[in-house]
Order: sequence, then C-alpha cells, then structure tokens
Amino acid sequence: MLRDITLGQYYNTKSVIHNLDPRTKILGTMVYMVSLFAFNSFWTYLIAFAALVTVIVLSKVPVRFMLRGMKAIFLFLIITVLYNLFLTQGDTIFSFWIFNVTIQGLKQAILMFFRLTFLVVGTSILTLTTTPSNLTDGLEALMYPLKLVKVPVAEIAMMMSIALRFIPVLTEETDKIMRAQKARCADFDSKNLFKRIKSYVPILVPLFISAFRRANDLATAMEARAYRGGDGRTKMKPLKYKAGDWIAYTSMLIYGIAALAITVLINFQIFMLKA
Amino acid sequence: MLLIADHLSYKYDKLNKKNVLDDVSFSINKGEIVSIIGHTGSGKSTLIEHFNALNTPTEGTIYYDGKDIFEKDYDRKALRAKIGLVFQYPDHQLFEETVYKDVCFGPTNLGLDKKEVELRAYEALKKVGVEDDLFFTSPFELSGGQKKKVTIAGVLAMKPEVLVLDEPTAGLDPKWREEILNIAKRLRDEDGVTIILVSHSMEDVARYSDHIIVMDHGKKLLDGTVDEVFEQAEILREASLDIPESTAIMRLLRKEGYRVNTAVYDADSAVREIRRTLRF
Repeated sequence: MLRDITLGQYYNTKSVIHNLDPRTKILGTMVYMVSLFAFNSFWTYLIAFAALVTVIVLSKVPVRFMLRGMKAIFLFLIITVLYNLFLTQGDTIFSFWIFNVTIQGLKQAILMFFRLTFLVVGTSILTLTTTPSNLTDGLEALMYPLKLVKVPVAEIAMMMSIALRFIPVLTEETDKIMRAQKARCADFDSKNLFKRIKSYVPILVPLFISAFRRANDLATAMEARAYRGGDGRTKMKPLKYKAGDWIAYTSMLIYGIAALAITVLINFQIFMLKA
Repeated sequence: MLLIADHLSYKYDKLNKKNVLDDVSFSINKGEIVSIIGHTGSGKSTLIEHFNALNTPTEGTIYYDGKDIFEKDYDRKALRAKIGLVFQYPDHQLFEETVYKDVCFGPTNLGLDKKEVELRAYEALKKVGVEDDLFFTSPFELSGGQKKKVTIAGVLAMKPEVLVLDEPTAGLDPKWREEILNIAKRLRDEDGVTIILVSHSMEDVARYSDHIIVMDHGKKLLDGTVDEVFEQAEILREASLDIPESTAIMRLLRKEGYRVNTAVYDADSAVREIRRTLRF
C-alpha cells in the first residue's frame, strides 16, 4: 500500500538529540560518515559502535525504526558482503567449487557489513530525530557560504521544503487515482513489462495535471502574499545554538581525536613491527 | 438481497487499535436507491470501497448475488464491472485525449472487441446526456458538472448492475446536482440498475432514496426506509446530521397540531402539503 511509504520519517518524541540544532546533527552525521570511511580498524569500529549506541539511547527512538532503513538495503548488503567474501585475493582458509574464501576476504566482508550498517543506522537517526522543515533550515544554513558563488541557496531551500510538504499529498492522490482506475478494471500487475508500463499512463496523466494545478495555485498564493525570493527573508524561528549543541560538538571532536589517535597508534605499531 | 455486508470490520493496519469500520451489517435489494449517509470520517468511503473489493475487510465479508466476494477464487475483475464505483473527483479518473476515448477505457479493460466497446461508450454517453459535439473534446476542458457526467458514463460503459456514486453532488451547483441525481434515478427506473448514493447531506439525497443507511464513527447508526430514519431525528442530530429543512418544518407543524404528512423531503412537496392541509 502506498500509505506505508513515509519519506521524512520523523519519530515524534522529546529527547536530547531531538533538541539539538539541525546544523549540529547534519555536521555530526557527516563527521560520523567520514570517520567510517577514514578509519577501518577493529578498535575504531568499536568506538563508532559505542558512539552509535549512545546516540540511539539518547534519542529515545525505538531501535526497530532504525532498522527499518536496513530493509531497503538488505539485498545490496548481502551482495556486497558476498562479493568481498569470495572475490578478495589473499590467504585461502577454505574453498569450494570456484570460490575461495580468504582471511583478507573475511575481514573485508565483516568490515563492509558493519560499515554499511552503521552508515544506514547513523543517517536514519538524523531523519528520525529532525523534522523535514528543520532539516531544510539546517541545510540552508550550512549551504550559506555557497551564496558567494551565486548559488541561490534560499530558493533551493524553499524548493526543498515545498517538495517535502507535497510528498504526502501527492502520495495520497496517487492512491486515490489508482483506486479510481482500478474501479474501471485497470490492470496494474500485468506480466508483460511493456503493457505494465503502459498501464501507468492512466495514473500519471491525472497525477501530473493535479501536480501542475497545485503548483500553480501555490505560486498564486505565494505571489498574493508578496513572496519575492529568498534574499532578506527573516525566519519565524531562527536557528540558534544552545548549550547542548556545544556539548555535542565537543563530543564529536573527542570522538574524532580518539579514532584518529587509535589509527595512528595502530599504524605506528605495524610500522614498528616491520622495522 | 443483492448485496449483503456481514459483520464488516476494517483497520488500516494491525498495530492500530481503531476500527475504521466496526461490525457493519446490512443488506441492499436489487433495484433500490440506497443512500449511505455520514460525516467526514464516518467510514462511508472506506465502506463502499469494500463493495468492489478495492479494500479487503479485516473481519467479516460481503456477499454479492449470493457469493462471498472475498473468497480466494472469486473473479474480482468481473466484480468491478458489475459494481461500478464512481469516485468523488472526476480529475482522479479522466486521462484520455477525448471524452469518448476516456469512456472507452473501462470496457476496453474488460477485453471486449472494438465494436462492442465503441457501442457501449456511445450508449453510456447518451444515457447520461452528454451532447454529441462534446465527444471529441478534451475532458479537461469541460465544466465540473460535465466532467461528472463523463465519469459516470465511463463506469456505465462497463454495464454495471450496481452503480455506487461517492459524493455525486459535491462541488456542483443546484442545477447540476439535480441533473446528476436524476441520471441516477433514470438508470434505476429504465434499466433496473441498483443505485448506492454516498453523501454527507440528507437534504440532497433523501427524496431520491428508498432506503437510508446512516454511518457514524465506523458504525452503522441507523438503517431503514427514509421515513423510518427521519423518525429518529434526535439520533441523527447526535451524529451531527440534520434531516432536510422541509421535513423538519413538517415535523414542527405536526407537533403544533396541524395534520400534515411528515414524509416530505423537498420544498415543492412541502408547499403542496401545507396547501392541502390549509384547504381543510
């Protein structure tokens, strides 16, 4: 059912993480993502895991909501793991048929599994604890420097928030149109691919017409309220850093330094062993 | 009995405790004009989407012509041709370049040959009174009332035995409202099509109906002939529904001791009835 699709999957509750400024959360997510790719030893992943668990606990969002995102990439995850497991060159542990499982492959596969899992869960915390409108506000603020190179940041942010606002509206509309055509015996699950694509025309035409009409109405309504582009517009709720945000930034810094220190230490050890 | 709802319950999802439909049972006879009335959120639209199996009930079932339509091997595509459902907004349905082509969509889906499809489309458009010169215009250029007519024709072209109209008068002016409801009545009178009207307003549909089912918060509140239902004006008011103004006036007159007939559902008959009484 189309009803089940939720983009902007905000989980409404009160927590320290929900309370953070969206800029903090976006930057935090970026730091976390970079750390997953930059550092790839067992110990740094342990720290990454500990950080993730802490944030999850603080966010008060049930873990099953985080794992929902995993469903979408499940197939991708399996393929990546198998690919790394069987196709990495190195010292063979065992082999069957045409496959060779190597120590390096096993390590790589485990690493990839955790990297992707942490990545998906980590980013889903951002969308679960931040309302879509807050998210666009945060992105707008972070993209602000791009104004210097004449990127229309405010307009992009406005477009994003409008798009987000209309996703549920158009989803519901699609559902209704689909029902109306089904009531006229339209068949959407034909086995023939060409027929199947063609069967979506009766949905797409009314949907596009309605989307254009809505866009037109919205433009008129904005015009009527004297919208004149983003420059110089003030916000009803301007973003403001609070004490919690500084704590978050400090934690991020500590996390980064710790991961970096461990990596350096391990590399140094290897270096020493080789020497 | 043509259509029987048997202890029908429906929820959006299993986690949700709230029933959108809660143990609804009724039966509809062949050739009746039935009105299903209720406020927004009363579950009336969800209910009618069960009639042609667009929704599947959580509990209970529907029998059409003596057969359980939610049985595994029941032909639900054929059912959708037999129970035609016209949705509220014509814009959700119209998509072809011309009115005529759009009406052909339904019968084409039934796998009929081209001649039969075109004949049926022509007959359906004629039946609802769309003028010939509109056949090859774009459906998007029509007025609201014309669009409504075309969507009804689009469903009629499948030759349904039951025609369900969801809020057929919404957004139309009085002249068009009357015209659309007259089409429904004509279909019943001339072709024996069973009509189910869904509305939030008693005023609109009362005088066309033989049978009224009142829905409130997913439950069936009242079920009976128009007179039987209007007798219970107090219960209706609790569901924030009103009986037609003319009926209310007649009931007041009755209370004051005038011997008027209270089975009056529109202004014209009210005037006639008052005149008749005063002549005594």
